[in-house]
Amino acid sequence: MLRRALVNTVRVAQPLAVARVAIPAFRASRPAVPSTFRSYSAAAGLSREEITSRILDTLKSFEKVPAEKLTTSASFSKDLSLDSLDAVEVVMAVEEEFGIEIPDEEADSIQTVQQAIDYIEKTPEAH
Amino acid sequence: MSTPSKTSLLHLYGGLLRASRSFSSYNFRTYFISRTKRVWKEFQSNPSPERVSDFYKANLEELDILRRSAVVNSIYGGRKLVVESNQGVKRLRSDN
Repeated sequence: MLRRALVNTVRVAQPLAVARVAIPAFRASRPAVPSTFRSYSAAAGLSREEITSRILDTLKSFEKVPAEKLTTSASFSKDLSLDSLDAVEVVMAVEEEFGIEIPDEEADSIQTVQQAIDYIEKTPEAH
Repeated sequence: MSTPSKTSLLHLYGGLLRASRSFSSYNFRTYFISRTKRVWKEFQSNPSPERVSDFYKANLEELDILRRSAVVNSIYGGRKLVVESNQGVKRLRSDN
């Protein structure tokens, strides 16, 4: 019994050893294949459509914003009739939604929905 | 003290909202956000030019207090409440 098992092991082990030696040469001769694994460290990057829909959702949650006037080209003060304090609150809500902090100077320049979308799009930290 | 400009007032308002938002306890966080909004809306509806610099100065001090308290609160924040347990996972990343 033991002897048969030993013989079997040797029989199996022999071809395996040969195959192991042969592998490097085989690999070197093979053409490069595109990798099939996924790199989880890659940046996620938000699509423009997703940014737009999330910003519009954020704005919809404001009571003062008239839903029928809400478009991507709308200006906070002219079209949505928000005052300067409300505009600051909108920028804060966008910050919270995307998990970023917008510097005051940049926040001042965001006066329309489109400008908010553009800012998020060029900010890699937004998620 | 000269009268603060509109921009610096708005920056201070943003700073107060950010500081209020950084409290880790739900009750403090929501209270200070709504309190800041209420106080500023009141001032906006009844603006008095002679009070602007006092208002600005008082709120600058308030901003410092809020920042310090938020740091202390983040150390002793306690557990999340039931009402906020689902807030963090409402939206996952776009690719998962």
